[in-house]
Amino acid sequence: MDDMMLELTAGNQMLRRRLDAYADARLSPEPAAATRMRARVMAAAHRQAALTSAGAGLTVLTTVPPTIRRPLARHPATRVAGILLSAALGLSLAVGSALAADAGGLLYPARLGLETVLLPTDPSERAIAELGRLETRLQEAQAASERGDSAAVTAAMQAYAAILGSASQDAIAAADPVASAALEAGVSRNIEVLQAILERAPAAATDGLTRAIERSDKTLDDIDGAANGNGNGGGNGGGNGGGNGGGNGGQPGTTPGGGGPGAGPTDEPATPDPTKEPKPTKAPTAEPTPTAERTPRPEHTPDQIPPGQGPDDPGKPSDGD
Amino acid sequence: MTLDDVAIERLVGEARAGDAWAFGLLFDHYHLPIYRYIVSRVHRPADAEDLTQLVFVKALEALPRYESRGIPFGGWLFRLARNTVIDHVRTRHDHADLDAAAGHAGSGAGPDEVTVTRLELDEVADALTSLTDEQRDAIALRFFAGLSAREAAEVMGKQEGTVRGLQFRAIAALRRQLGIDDEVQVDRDDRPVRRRGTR
Repeated sequence: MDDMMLELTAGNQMLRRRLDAYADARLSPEPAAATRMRARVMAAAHRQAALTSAGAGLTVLTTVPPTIRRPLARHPATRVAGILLSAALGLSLAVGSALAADAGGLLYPARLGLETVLLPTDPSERAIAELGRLETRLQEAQAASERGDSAAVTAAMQAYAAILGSASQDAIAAADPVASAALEAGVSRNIEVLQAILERAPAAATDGLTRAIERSDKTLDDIDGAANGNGNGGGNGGGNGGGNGGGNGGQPGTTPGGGGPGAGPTDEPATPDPTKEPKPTKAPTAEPTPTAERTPRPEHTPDQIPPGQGPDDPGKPSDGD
Repeated sequence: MTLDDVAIERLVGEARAGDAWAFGLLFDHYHLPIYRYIVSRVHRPADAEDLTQLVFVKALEALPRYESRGIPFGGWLFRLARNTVIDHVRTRHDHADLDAAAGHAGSGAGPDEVTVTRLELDEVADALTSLTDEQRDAIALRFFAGLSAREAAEVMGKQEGTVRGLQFRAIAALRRQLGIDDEVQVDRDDRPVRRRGTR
């Protein structure tokens, strides 16, 4: 602040206080909203970080889940050591991938197991890392679908469902709002991606994709149910039910817990919840990884209007209220 | 969360290099003023939440192309927020009030006090609707987002003097609407003590 907001007359002081009170009361996000925003933005940031790593030539590292960043890790020597370690790990993973770790390959289960071992323990970071794993499965399914490999699509989707089951159980068991919000946002988008893949998939691969979509729907229901204190459909032995004392009188769990790769379809399709609708940046696409290219571009972006070179006003809302 | 300009620029550099942790700190620093600006313009908390998130995701995607060029990161972010709001207002079809947000007020107060607080807040909300769009923009950037006149001018793409003029006229209009004149004084508890009739 480089200047006085208001000349300090009594009237201006009073107006200032009333504006401050108004801002505090009506222009501040609810804590849950702030948590949701942060979780979604951080999920996007982690994806972007993975893309940046991929762009640097360490593509395989995108499958390695992010770990919690600590201030200690910012020391230059630690950073260099981390880069070397990452490069070595990336090389070894690349060799492993080349051998047979593709979806449906002999080493695929081992690769999935390694990913699980590398998951962070912090619930929020773990959920975001699991979202990264789910995206990798989507990429595998899409690639396999494009080359007509139905067995690989099915293998990727079985892995997807298994990861989804454990991720949702972990998030619900931890009662971590960031983890739940991140999963909710990421899985909602994954459903759109799965539907896009399904449209172009070989006939023999559609069952696996359909089950993955249904499993995703159920996961969203479970997370919502846990958040509303309705239990989670039995997936966690009822450990989270009734948390909010009253809730909304909601629905009991409709499917047996666990799910896993072979979970069958639910009785009826999930009803879309407006709060679960894809965010403005997440338009349905056929590609599983969100990138800048797939995000609707704003009509005006800062770099389109160089400082001091743009029009006086890029646009005036026709109706501000 | 308080960060100085040097720390912000360092975090921006690290976020550009793909450091999600650094971007998280930038979110923590800016999300409240950005949200306040947006919700003051679009009025619906649910829309404001979506748009705030959208602004940060856009910033994340545009960060590799970000160059300071004299405009600090915060100003760049607010310009992005303003353009996002403009796009939203242009395309939205429904209008809804802010009733849901009224529940924030006076959570620890008794019923009478809650009513008084809510009425006072409603008065401010009504007074804000009497402003022109540009005046409201200036007030939102200056008072709700906490920008300086220079920063607000950069975001609005106007001269600083122009923004000060908008602010001056907006304040006069708000005081007129709220019945606050220079004869009003405030006591030790910030309650108005009127020496002569106001509204």
